Amino acid sequence: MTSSNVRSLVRAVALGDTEQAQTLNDRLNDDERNELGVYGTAVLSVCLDHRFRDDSSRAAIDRFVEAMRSNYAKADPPLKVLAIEGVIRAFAGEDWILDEISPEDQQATQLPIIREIVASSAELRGRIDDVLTDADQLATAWASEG
Amino acid sequence: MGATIRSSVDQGGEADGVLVEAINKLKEMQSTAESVRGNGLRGGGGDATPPESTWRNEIGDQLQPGPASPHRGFMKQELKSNDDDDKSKSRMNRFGRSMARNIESAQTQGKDTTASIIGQVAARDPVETVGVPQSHGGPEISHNDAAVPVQDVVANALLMSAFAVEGLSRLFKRKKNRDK
Repeated sequence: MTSSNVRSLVRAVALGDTEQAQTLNDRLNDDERNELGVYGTAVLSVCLDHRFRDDSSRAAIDRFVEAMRSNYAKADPPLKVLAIEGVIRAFAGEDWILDEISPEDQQATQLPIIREIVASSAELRGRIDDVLTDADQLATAWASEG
Repeated sequence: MGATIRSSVDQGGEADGVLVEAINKLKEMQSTAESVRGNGLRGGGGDATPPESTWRNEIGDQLQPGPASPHRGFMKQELKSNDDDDKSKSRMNRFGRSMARNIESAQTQGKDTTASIIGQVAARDPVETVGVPQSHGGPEISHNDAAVPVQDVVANALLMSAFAVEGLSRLFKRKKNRDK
């Protein structure tokens, strides 16, 4: 079961409440920081499934990445757009791409992608707590399988 | 039997309401039988065997929907949907496990790095929280929601001033006219 701090942090980021996310980040202990990596992956998986379930073609991925590039134009430090594209293509079936992206960069893509997908989907915003619970179940299943 | 009853009525016998009702019922049954025959449930030439395509299932037979049956269409749709769900789950698991393994094997993301990533997210605008359910931990209000672009504020202020000036000048004109 994911800690409430980690869950609340991802929730706050997903909804764009970055002030609260920063406050929660200050409170995380070491175990929760470890947990954030796996739980962030699970939330990312659920969000990517929602966004690319019907169309995970290269064209659809390109459109999404282009929108991200534009929406995050003011981000400082800038987003690693290539890493973002690689992560999404890995999700869409090109598994080998993950080997080309450092684990640090993989994790760094999670929160911005989650935010982008949730921001562009009223449906996801409306059932954000269900999304987080689904992700919790995924992460728990992965942990139990070792 | 129908003919006997009908003839007794036709001959001026005392046909009470029950008898008339019975005749009507009989006529109804007759016409139903004729329409069933006309629909082809019986073969031609008095053959009582229905054509193969219209055979009814025996009790205990399994339903065998035809090729164009809407039931079969629904089943196909349901199977496709289950298939999609399975594909989607397996894709999430394959990708997620692989990424989680990579991240767990690396050094844990530090507080500053996480703060920097949250800072990137903060640079994305505009924030949209319409229709978002409140969490159980109390209200979570995005501060960015209250932000209104400066140009909108100035434009509104100018518009309001224009209305006010227009209103006042009309008032003065009316007063002048009255004074005259």
